[in-house]
Amino acid sequence: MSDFIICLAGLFASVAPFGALGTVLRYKRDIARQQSPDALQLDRLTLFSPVAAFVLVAIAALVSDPLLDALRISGPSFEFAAAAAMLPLAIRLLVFGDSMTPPAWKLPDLAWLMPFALPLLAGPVSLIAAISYADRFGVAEAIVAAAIPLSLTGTLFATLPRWQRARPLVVQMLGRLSGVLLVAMAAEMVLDGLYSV
Amino acid sequence: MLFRSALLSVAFWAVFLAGLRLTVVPPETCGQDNLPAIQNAASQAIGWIEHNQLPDGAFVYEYDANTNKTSTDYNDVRHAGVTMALYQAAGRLHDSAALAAADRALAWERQHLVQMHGWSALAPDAKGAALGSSALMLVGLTERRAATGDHQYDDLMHQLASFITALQGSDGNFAFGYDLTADAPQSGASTYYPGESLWALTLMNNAFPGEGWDKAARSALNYIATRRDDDVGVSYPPVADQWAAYGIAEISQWGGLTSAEINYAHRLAARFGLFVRTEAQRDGSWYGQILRGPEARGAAAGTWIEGLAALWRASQFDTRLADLAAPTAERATCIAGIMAGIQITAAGAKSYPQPGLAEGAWYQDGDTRMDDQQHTFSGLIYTADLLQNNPHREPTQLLPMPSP
Repeated sequence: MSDFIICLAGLFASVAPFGALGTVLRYKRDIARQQSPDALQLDRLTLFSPVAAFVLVAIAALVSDPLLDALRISGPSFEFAAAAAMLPLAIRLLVFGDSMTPPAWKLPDLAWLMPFALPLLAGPVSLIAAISYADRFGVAEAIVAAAIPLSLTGTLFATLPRWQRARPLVVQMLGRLSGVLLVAMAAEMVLDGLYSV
Repeated sequence: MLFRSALLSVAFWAVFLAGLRLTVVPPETCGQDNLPAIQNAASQAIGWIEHNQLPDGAFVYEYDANTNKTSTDYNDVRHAGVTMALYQAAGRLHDSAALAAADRALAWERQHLVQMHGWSALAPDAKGAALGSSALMLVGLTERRAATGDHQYDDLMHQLASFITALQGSDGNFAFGYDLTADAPQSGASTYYPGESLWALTLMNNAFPGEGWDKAARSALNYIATRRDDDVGVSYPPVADQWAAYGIAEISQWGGLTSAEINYAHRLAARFGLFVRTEAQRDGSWYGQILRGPEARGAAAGTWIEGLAALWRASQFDTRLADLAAPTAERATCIAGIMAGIQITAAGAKSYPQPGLAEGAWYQDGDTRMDDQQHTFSGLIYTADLLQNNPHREPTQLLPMPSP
């Protein structure tokens, strides 16, 4: 598998677009009774959340080298930590099919930023994965790879009404598959850590 | 509500990441990873070997500072390795004292040679000749020839090389040694003898090109790269074999490494790298020491430096190994710096019962063995090479021979 494909698969699994979709869908169902139909501020969610998440992930990729130097950790050793950090999200995806518990509070004006950009899309797992992949494959590769799942996430959010009409099981299954991919990418990271100089 | 929930999430991740920091990725440090410190440590290490040579040409094998006793054991393979390191010092550091000490050690070896069937082998007990002893003796003689330009031992070198090839099978593997009583090759498998023989054969080919030693060397490397680890039952292959890395570095200059051998070189570099990263974590923090256990002994860490520096050299000659250049250099420098930092200094040696057995040495639990200094010395001089971007192992000028 080419380096970019690995980088893309890892960041796709870490951003988990279908896991994020599952969270948003569940949240929308929960609040539909309490708030206006556009409580999610769909326009902002579609555009601003992925862009904000992309900026955060790109910053993580850009600072990977100085950050690892400051922490005094070599890239291959950091991969063990990155793989371990993926596990909580992987478990969540495998068990519930979404990326996080839907927030149980009234959405603030900046909901597109928090919780939907941070931590839903650019959570610790995505940021750590970006740091690790940027160190391993290069900053540009990691940034380009991160743009793809985040673009897909924006597309999924934009088509939220259609997904609402789909059976919840479909989105759950897609989220669980993201969990399987995340476990696989965590294992790949551990192996690469073991077999890197 | 939003604030409380966010705080809980942040707290979870803070605790989780702190736990990872403590358990999975303690900080790594690389001691005195600079050229002057590494060169100085190499000089101090070879000084330990020179000062602790016995009148008969052998060396203090092992010393336990806790009991203030030297071991009565001896090992002819390690003797040959230490002699080799002295010849390396003679050539690389222009150290006449090292040459004199090496020649005394060579005299010890020559007293324990057996000659049969047109070959010679080192066999101190006159019952069996271990392959590794003769292989490293041959490496030492090639180093002597390169350092001095003296050809007086060319015949002996050929006889030792003939012993090695006499024990080599058609698959590239070697017999364990030769049973002098039964007058037959000894059965059994050694983990490191094939690598030692490989390196000896590559240097023999460099010294005497066109005589066909390269064919035996290539066959040995193919065996090591593809089957050796299975044959000796290595649980987590590849075994960290710095001798094989030396062999790869030589053959990379001839060209023609196979894809299996290139793949093996990558796996070997990764194994050394993993060991070094773990050692750097031990050195980096008090909890790293608790998690990763005691520091490796000098002989072990020394072989990692040797292996990494050798693979760095190979990366300079074969473009398929070019990706190893930066990481092998980084790891070799790191572990060399660690070893330079924990070497017993002259001041530190004063606290030992016998300072002469401490200065320039590496101790583990109060114990040092001659190959702790040998392997680390060799690794340090080749790391100094890579820090100076010098991929050539041979001395640049000849050391004058002492007058008879």
